Amino acid sequence: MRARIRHVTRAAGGGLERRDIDTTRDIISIGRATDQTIYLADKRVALNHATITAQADGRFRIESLAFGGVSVNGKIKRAAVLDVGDRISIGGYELTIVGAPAGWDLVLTVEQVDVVQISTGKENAGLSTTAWSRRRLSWILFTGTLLFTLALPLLQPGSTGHDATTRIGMPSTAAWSPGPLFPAHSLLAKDCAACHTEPFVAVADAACLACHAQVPAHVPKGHPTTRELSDARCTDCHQEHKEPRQLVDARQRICAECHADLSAHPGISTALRDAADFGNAHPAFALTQWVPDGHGEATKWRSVRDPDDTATPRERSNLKFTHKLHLAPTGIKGPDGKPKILACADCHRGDPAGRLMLPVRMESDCRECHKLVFDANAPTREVPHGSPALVQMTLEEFYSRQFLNEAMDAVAGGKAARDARRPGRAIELTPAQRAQAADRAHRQAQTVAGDLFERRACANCHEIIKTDGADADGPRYDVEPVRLTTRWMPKAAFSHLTHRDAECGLCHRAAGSEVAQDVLLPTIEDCRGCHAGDTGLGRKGQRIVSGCMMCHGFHVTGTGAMADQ
Amino acid sequence: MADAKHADFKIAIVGAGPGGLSAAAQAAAAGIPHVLLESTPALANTIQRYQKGKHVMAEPSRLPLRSPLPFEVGTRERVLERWAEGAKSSKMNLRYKAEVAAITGAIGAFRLELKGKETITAERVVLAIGLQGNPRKLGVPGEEPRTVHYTLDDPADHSGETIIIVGAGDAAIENALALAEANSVVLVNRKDEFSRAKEGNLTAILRAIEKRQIECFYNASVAKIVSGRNSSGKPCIVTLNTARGAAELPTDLIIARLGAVAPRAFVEACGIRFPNDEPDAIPLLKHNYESNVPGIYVIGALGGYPLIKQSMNQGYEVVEHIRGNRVKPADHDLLAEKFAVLGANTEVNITLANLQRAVPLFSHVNPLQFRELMLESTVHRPAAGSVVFEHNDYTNTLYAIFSGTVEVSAGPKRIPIKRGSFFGEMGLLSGRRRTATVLAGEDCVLVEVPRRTMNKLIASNTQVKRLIDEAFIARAVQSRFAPNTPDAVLKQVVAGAQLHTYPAGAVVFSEGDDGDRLHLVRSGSLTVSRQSRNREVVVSYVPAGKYVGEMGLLGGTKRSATVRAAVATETVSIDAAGFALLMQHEPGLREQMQAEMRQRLAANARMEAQPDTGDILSFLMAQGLGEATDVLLIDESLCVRCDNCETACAETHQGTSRLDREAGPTFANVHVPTSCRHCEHPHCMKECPPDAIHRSPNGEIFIADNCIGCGNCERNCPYGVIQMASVPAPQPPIWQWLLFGRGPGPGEHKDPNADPLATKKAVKCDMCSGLKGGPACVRACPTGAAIRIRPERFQQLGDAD
Amino acid sequence: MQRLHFSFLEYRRSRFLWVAVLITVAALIAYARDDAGEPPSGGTTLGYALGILGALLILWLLAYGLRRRSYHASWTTAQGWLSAHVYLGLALVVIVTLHTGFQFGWNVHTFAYALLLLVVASGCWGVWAYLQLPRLITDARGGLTRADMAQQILELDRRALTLARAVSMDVHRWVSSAIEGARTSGGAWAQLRAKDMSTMVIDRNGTAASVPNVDQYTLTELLADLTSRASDAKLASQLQDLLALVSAKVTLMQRMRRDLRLQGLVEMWLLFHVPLSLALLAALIAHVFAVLYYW
Repeated sequence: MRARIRHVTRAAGGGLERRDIDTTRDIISIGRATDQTIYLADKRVALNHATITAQADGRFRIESLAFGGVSVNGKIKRAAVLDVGDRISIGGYELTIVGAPAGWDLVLTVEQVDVVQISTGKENAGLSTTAWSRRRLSWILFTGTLLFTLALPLLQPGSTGHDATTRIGMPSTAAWSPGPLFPAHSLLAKDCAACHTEPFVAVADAACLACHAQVPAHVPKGHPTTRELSDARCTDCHQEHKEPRQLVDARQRICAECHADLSAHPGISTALRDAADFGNAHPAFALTQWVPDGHGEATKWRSVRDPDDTATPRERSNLKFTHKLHLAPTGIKGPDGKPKILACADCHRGDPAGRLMLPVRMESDCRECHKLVFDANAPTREVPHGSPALVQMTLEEFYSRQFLNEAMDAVAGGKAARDARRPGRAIELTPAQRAQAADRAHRQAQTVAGDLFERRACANCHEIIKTDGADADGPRYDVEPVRLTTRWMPKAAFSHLTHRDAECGLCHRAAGSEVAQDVLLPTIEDCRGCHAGDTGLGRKGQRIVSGCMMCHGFHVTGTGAMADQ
Repeated sequence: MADAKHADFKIAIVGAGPGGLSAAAQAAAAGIPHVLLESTPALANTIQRYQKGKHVMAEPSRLPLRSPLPFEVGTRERVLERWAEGAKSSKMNLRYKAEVAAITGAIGAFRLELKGKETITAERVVLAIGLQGNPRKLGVPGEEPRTVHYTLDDPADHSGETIIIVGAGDAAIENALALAEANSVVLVNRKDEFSRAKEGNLTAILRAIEKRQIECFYNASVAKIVSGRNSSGKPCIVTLNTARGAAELPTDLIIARLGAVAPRAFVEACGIRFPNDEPDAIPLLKHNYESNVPGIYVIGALGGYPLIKQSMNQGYEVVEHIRGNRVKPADHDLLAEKFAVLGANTEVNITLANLQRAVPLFSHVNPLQFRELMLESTVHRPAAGSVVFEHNDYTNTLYAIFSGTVEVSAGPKRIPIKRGSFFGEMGLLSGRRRTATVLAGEDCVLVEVPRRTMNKLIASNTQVKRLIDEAFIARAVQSRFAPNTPDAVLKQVVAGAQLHTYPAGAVVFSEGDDGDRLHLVRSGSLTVSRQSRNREVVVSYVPAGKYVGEMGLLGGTKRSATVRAAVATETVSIDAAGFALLMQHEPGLREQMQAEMRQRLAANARMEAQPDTGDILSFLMAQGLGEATDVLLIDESLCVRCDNCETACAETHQGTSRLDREAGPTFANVHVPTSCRHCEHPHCMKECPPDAIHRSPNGEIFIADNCIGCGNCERNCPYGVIQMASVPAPQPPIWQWLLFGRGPGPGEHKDPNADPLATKKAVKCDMCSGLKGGPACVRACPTGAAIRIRPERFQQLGDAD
Repeated sequence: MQRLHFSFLEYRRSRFLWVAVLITVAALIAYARDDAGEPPSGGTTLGYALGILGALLILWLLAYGLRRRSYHASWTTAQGWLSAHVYLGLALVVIVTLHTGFQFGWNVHTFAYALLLLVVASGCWGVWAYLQLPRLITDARGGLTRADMAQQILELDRRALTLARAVSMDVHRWVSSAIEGARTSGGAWAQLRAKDMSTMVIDRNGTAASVPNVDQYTLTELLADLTSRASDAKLASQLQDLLALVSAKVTLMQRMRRDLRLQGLVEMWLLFHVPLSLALLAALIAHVFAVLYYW
């Protein structure tokens, strides 16, 4: 057929422009492909959209090859017979059948009625319109974070290992641990629930006491204060998961809370006096020592926490002694009779740990000078440092022997003869002779004993009790028992070791002490010379920060286990 | 009843519009022999032409209806239907297709010749023919009745034709749309938009053009028509003058719909006289609507009463007059009510007469118009010393003093205004804030006339305009320069003063001219610019109420700068002589002026120092901001284009943003988005049928709820800041959108399947007057790019602090 | 006379800067003078205090997203909020850092802290973008709105089509397929790289084949080739005009893509800031939960 395809364009300003394309094809193909008879550039048009063919009756028929069909005079059709004036619209184009002049079978106009609008303007501007939606990303991150930081850990509580993830790499509650544990506790790191027994409940003492059952309490069970202390928890002072690791909260505030004013705490009845800070609110030291009750064998010793805090407490150990004499700068007569200058360490020794001093002992500390000789003719013989009975027996035995020998010499005619007699030939003494010798020996012993006890050896250091007996066996001597106090302040922890570099005299003013009763312990003022309170470097100059915990502990031995309270 | 013999009817009513129908009904009710002649085959031709389903209003709503025919607000169909029923039931004598060709004879025996050689006689004639009926002609060479039509009887008559429709009114559009169904239609629009079309028609036609169902030529006109054989096979070829030169279109038919003019020829043929030759002139009428021809009465649109209710009332009244009954006009009670404050219960007409006599301004108004004016106005009787309006109020009504006096307190001075004169014209004319506070004097009575009414009067009545202008000049001069000058002197000065009107961009005077006049800006605004480094730099902006040119007067030197009108501007100029006179009588005036002059010189110098500020200023002026009172400006160096301002606006205003951030020009990072500038003389206020657009005391222009969606304001706004908006789609709570994107989200109200023809209302920026804390757009701007400022502060824009 | 426009950093003489500084300094002092008897951490009294303050701040900062969209809020302006958002956001870093007591580890808590730093960092990026890019956008636009450009392109296309039809059917096919395949925008990545995804259909030995057409290069080549072989002057000039139209279009499209690119950059940081903030919220929940769960 002879067809004329008339492309019509309306200029923007108005007016029409035409361009005719003539074809003789039998099938007029319409589509977006470039090989179509009628080429329509519009994405809404299929590559091969429709065809127009001639019918037997000379009319024309359009058939849609595209799914969408074509719209003929506004109605969507798969196929239609065309008449003059019919309008076919495909995509943005409109085809109109025009009456064909002579010589033509078909004339149709093709007009693009709307140009494809290129993507533009606000509708697709900005990233929000792309796949990158803030909302979507937000959801992903939010839920993701929640899953990994909260949900998954919760699914596996008592997790394994202190590394933040489980063996299969899933986050565990260990990922919640804010910091490392104290080395001693590192075993527990594997099991949060060991201490955190109940969710949303602060770690309970029970968890600690499970192991630390024997930790002594602050006050004995039943003590009125227990109620006061009942709400105190281990974790108040013992914090974990901290760096640098530190297990004890040494703030003296904690002690001071109660001890600053004990009276303010009803029900507390205690000899303790208020103390808030060593530097400025601490009572003078109260000493605890052994005090004798009765005399001689009957003596009973009581430990007394200084009943009256007199400025100068007296010692009561029944020992006579003067530091002044021993520490005389000119020296004191030594064993060899020459003067000897003594140092503290010549008589005082510390315990193996070096914390406390051992009590002075006669045998090891005094004997070197204080020899217990009793007879000038026998300078090497000493009486034992023991009970008076033993001393007297020793003397009896010594002198009996001396006088018997003298008697036998007289019988044998001199010592030489007695030594030269033949063996087997005993020198016989008459009972009278024997009784006489024994009597002399007894009297001699009596005299020497009296001399030893009352004047020379014992009386130097000991209190002697003399009781006159029957004339026959003379007076009887007793020594008051001695007990030296080794821990004067049992509630405070002091160590000579840490102070070993200091002169003894710095704290113990012994040189001037003339009486044995002097207690040569430093007073609190002496300590404050170096030790400030918790407030740190005191007002005047550099001093050592010394909180309560430096000398005192919360857990007091002998109060029974925490667990029981 | 002698006359009855040789007259068929006592009353012949021409035109079955609202007025005619009402009159006929009343006549029928009164049993008076009458006839109602309607040229068309249907009644109320004008209303018939209304767009389908149009909302017909019953303004003025305060006015009671006094007609046997029913009428109330409703759709066009409903109204017509009610009238048809009324016409039937009232048994009026109604004749269709009876067009009156001429009216001759005199009272008692008028002869009405109908087309078709029939003649009717009547004693009295009531002309109720509206303004329809004689279309404007196309008037181009080659015009033939065969090819050029002025009406379209039935679209169905045409198919497969190429039809050119000339015109851009509703009629043209409706025809075009109707014909486009079966024809290829070309619309020829003289303007570049359809400014006269109703909103519904507008959207319809624009969509049709967009879809290429109708080809439209803008700024085009028909040049010539060549009929006869031609290659195209069409009866004629039409040549159009288009914006892009001539275009030839083979055409079957041309339909010209160019609107109608009053059938003046016919009316004058009846012997009725018009006061002047203005096309919209109105015949002179007595209070009973009788024209200068005894026995011929004119009512309705022809008589200057376009409103339906008025016409219907007049229909009733005119018949009563003819029957010889003295009817009180419908507005009598209303007026009586208004005058109640006067106390003395004098007859309304007398009071009106007194008013007109007392106030020269009103004496020039014809009694009927004055009634209208009083209906709109309010009568005040303020206590002595009470404030009538405050300085810087944004009210713009005009007050007339019926009795007593008032005092204008401009600064420290008190200027009395006497009985019979008026005040407030400054605000009225300049559209700016009140320049002074006015206090009521001893027992004064004031008549407050609304802006709209007053403007109507000024436009239609030259004497009134002159009076107001003179007063304005006098006051302006007095309050600005000469509070103590005796009126006699003032009169001389005013006599020498002139009123100038400049279109936007016009030069008031240019650098180097001889300075002999001082210009006081009455409305609009001026820009002062100077030649610097051989280019013009704007150095300052002079809003209404301020003046320029004093340098010239003082120094008597040459002009030191060029002054241009930023927008259409009116100025009052005083000549050197007059000013010299003032300076004689005003000690200290010279000093005052010199002081101001020094300031201005300093300012100018500073501005010249930073020319870019000047450039910005001139740019803003170029955007018509000269007439603005409050502008939204965006600093594009801060704006991140988040459109939060638009969203905020939409969110706070029923889903339609009143501003378009992106649109609008930019200069030196100062961007003027499409948003209301609250002009001093809002273009949108013109032609608002229900008078729904007002300016609040704070200055913002807002549209009240009684908007009927006619779209006039949208078309009248030269800045395109008013849109017709329909009801927004409902919105889910914000969190639903934030979390799941459940729309519509903030600002996404546009309802895809909203009916574009659904009833819409005009919306525009109201400065968020409802909201505390100022405009939402500004408050919602996260970067501080958006600000609203007064033009007075424009000069700060360039400043880098 | 002082300026009319102030950026959100200068809002009310940067009052929120001073607020932020105040809070920061206060926190630092408190931290310095704290005596907890244990190393500083979130567990001490001060730690808890800072933690709570930080958490509240985070919630408040998140609330900005809501405030920005609550358009009826009458007191305070969005600018004020943004200003506060920026400055207090920065102060937050100090507060939270002190809250940690510099105790970090591979755990939820440090993770949350890291997220916070990321969020603030992206925020700073945003501040930079907000202060720098707008000028560039203005320059790139050259006074045209995107709609204008689209309109112009459309107009060029119309004229090109008309012209092309006048030349030959092949040329018309090229041109219209090039118009068909023209792309100014695309996926986010394409937008940010201002990549031209345009294509066109050419006739390869009888079958239609779609080939890339970056900056209309292919089309230009084809037309130029044709021009060089153009026999008569009329055809040549028509093709010249066509080429002119095409190059004009290319300029417009490039400008449009640059505009889209800048727009994208202005928004891009939010793609990090917002989702990360939400992640931070999640982490914060986990952090608080974990702390309370294992108290």
